[in-house]
Amino acid sequence: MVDHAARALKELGVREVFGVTGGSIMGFFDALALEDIEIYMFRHEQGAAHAADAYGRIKRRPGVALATSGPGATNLVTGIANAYFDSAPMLAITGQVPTSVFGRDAFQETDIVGVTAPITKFNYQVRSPEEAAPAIRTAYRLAYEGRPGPTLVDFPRDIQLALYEPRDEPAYLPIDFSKYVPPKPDPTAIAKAARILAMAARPVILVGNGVYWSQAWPEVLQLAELLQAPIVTTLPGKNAVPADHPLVMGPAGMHGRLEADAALANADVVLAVGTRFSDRTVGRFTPEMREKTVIHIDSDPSEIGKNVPPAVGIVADAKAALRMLLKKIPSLPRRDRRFIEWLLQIRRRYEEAMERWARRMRKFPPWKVLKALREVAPRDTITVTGVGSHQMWAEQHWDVYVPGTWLTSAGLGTMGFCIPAALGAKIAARDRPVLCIDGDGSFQMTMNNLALVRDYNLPITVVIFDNRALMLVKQWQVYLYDRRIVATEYSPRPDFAKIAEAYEIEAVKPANLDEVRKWADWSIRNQEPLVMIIEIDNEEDIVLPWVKPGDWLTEAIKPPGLEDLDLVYPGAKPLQAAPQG
Amino acid sequence: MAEMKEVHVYGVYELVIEAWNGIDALMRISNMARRAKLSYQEVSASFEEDRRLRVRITATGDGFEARWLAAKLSRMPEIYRVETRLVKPLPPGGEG
Repeated sequence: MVDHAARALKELGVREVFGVTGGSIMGFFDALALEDIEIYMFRHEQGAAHAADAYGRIKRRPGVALATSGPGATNLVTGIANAYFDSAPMLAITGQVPTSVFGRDAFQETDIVGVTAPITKFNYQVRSPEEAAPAIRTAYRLAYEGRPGPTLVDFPRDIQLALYEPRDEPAYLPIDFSKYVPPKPDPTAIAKAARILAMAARPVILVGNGVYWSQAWPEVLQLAELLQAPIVTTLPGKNAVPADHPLVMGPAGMHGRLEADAALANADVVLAVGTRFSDRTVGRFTPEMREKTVIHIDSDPSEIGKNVPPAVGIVADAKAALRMLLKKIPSLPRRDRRFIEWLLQIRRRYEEAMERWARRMRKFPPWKVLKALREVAPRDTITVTGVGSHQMWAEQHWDVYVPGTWLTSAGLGTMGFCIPAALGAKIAARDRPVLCIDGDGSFQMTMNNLALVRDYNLPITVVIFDNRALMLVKQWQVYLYDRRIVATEYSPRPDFAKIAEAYEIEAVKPANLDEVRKWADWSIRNQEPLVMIIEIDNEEDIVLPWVKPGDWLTEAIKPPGLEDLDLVYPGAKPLQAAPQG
Repeated sequence: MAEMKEVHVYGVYELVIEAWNGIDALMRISNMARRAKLSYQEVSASFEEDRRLRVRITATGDGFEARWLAAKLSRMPEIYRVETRLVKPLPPGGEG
């Protein structure tokens, strides 16, 4: 029946899949080849899963990853969990041992349905041939309906090989798809939200990645302009609004920008759209977040009130809710811009301080490298990051201009995401430049997938921020563990230039920022793959600002020279009680 | 479910869940229930005809965990019915 399953994939529009073959999935691979579906042979299943995740985020429809039973399937797990926590559409297909040996600890048997139950929207083991095509269609559709996420279908080998002629099989498994259609925004709740926003002194819009999936950025910008409300984002929410809009303050949170932290901390009303209020974004939930009036729009009802109780919770598609909200908000008198001017003043001081700090650094200042790359990368460059200090520098200093061009592992924080995700993004958008901003630790986890660059002509530009340390953990050791540096510093091995050379990729170690620009420009313009190694000093590479775990946003440790900068808005401070008598 | 109402009544809450695809759905329900950190009183599950499953959970709390779990479960593809109700209010922090 694998022929029917492969045909179902093709009818759904699947033209490329990612995976590693094996004894329990080779029949499926064979059927895919007969349907002319291209198979990208990753060197590890985790890479295939990240590629499918990234492909799904760019194409806005599920990427497909395949693996054999046992270790093949369990190697997919990290990638599936990554897609789950970042709400990315992805379909995993796994082989399974024959049903005749189920439960006998057969060779490469693993209960992958049980293993992935908490990290998939839906998973299913096909137990009879007539379920195969309906299961594929159902899992594919569920991956993108409503809040996107990963799904998995598990195929025992005997079922794959069973002869079967379809008769009147249903198109789908018996699923109620109507529950994935977001309910229409409740007019009463919208009216209440509009009243609160119109009366707010310092409204702030917190944008999550739900805004990207709903394509609601025009409405977010329109509402921000109407209210003169600053926009702050989550780490994945950077993907949803252009950084060069005058009201976009950037990402807030643990490694957010100072002006964004200040905006969120001093807001009296927070309109949160498509976000789950991660602790990484708000620092802590009590008492400060509970003192704010929160309006929360999300298509997933379980997110409303999960971390921060809202005054108004609206379960709806973000675009539909914001459109209704825009109609309900009356034309407002001229708004007080003093709050925004204060935030912009913080931004100016912050940028000046970073310039002064850069001049004192022995090696490359990471943020200056990012700014140099941004100068030469076209606006629609797809930027992917790994996980670590380079990712946090990119959160603060990489400007995303076009929604949908920022891919990062935000929820799970998966080191090794960058290389395979960049390859998946390049397969999804061959006509656009793809830049992988990685760290040395993150790079070493999945660098074997560089083999695909020449195998399939996927010219990505890889920039490794090489500090030979697991630097973000080392930073915690410096500040929180009394400088006891344990298991975070690497040896100089391996030589990344030689690794690149082994995969027939050009490698360079620029000496200055001009060379960074020149080489990045060469790679992007000529569509030539490149590995650029940027040497970073691992004593100096401390990512600031930083809100320590459990601290509030205004308590951020600031970059040198900003120690006196107060992130509490003067207009928001409580009045001193008048002296008695 | 457009506007969420916060109800903070301490007591015994009952969830009744009905699902298609019995054994796999049970696995997913138990995983999600574990994440909800319910203070269980009783859990019962029965397999009905046509691979269907019926689960009944009673748990003590202020209703937040039960409603969060219901919201999560109601979005799961296999599940076609989730009902939550307060069975018995209790004095805060103790059995009535």
